[in-house]
Amino acid sequence: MPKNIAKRLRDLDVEATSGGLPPLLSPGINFVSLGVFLGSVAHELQTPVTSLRAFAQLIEMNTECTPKIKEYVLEILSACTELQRSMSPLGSLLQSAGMEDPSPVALNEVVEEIASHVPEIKVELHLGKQLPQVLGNRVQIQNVIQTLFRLSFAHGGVSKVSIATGINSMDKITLTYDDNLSPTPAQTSLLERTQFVIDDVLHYAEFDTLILRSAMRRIRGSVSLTITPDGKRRLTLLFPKVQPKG
Amino acid sequence: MNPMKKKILVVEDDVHIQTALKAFLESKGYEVSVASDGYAGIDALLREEPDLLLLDINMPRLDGLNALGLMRFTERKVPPVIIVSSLGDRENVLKAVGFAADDFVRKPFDLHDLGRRVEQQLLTLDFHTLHEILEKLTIADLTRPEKFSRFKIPDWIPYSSHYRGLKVCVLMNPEAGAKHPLSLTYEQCLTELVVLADYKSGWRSIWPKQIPEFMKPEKKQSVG
Repeated sequence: MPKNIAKRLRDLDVEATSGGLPPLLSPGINFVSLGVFLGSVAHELQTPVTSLRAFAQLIEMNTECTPKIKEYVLEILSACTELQRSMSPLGSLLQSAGMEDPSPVALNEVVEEIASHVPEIKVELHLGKQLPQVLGNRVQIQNVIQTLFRLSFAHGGVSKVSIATGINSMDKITLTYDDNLSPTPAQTSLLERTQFVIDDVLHYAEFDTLILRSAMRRIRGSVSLTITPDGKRRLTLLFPKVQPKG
Repeated sequence: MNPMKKKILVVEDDVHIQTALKAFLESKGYEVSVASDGYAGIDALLREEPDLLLLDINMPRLDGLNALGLMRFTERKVPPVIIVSSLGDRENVLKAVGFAADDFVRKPFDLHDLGRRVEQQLLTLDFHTLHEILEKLTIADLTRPEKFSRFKIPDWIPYSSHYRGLKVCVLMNPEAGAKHPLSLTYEQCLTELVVLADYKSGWRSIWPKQIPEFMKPEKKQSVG
């Protein structure tokens, strides 16, 4: 069984067997779980259907394909289309429920990995030791980190940034992002709407800010923009921590 | 290795889809290389210098959209990108547009449709195919110049046309002295004519290959 489906099944199973939990959950939450499960099944099926359809078309395109084989291939393609049509509403269940799969993520590891892939920017890392894992989704957290670079790169082609991770006085996991930009308060407001160009392609900073905020919200974190005493811009991100068991 | 062959990089984690795409694209005469996750895709982009990228979203280690975001930081110019994914919901399509992807194909895809889109993205015009466009010209009204914001549009005569399913805008220098673009010589076409095609990610120049300097936008705009 595909890994993702097995995981969803296990989640449902845990809910079903965890004593008094189901009555505590509202029927709405149960429906969401079921929707996520069905949507995951549909999503996992998309991949083999894509392969099946593509190989059937490759056979159809082959010059040695006889009319009889072609007839069978058309049957396969028709079955694929039907399956696709049946899966489509299930796929939208997953999309409407969101793809979040909260699981423990080692924040420092993600930061280091991403930082090693931005050769045009010098990244100075100050990573907190023995940092607890954050609760979130690896893809969303990767999205957050690389969006930070995009935001800086967009506004002035920054060449050096500094990232620090740690735990603040409120016992929250923090990621502080400093670049060498010094916007005035008026310019800070421009961060929400300035356009910029990389590789002759127009980007919208507004979109990046939106992605950043949306991604942090989806992992139940938050982001704030402040100006440091020396007039530099600082982004502070708060991540939810994995709660210790027991 | 044929230097004339267009190179396509397929970044896809499913080995069956990789194989099918490779077989199909090679049958169309392209040179194909594959990578199985976002980080491998970034490394392959730097190594292979492809002319086109087919990029899946849902992949291990690093997903396609985040990989595309990081590719924009590399020294290598990112070629046209077609996102090929089953995550065709509004949010992912919007994200793909935000990361300046050029097209979005939903899985399960039709190979013929994918082939047509690949062809569109790799479109190169010679003088003969340019004439196919010029033969179908009508005068255009550039009422929404902001759509062309990746270019500095000169005060040239705008025409519209279509080519291989793409909307096309032809701009002609009025000082060329010709009544119709069709009457321009090859040399005049290189300097007095610009053809822009309407891709999902915005308008892109398809003639000449290098757009004139005066039409290029500022590389970066700083708020500082």
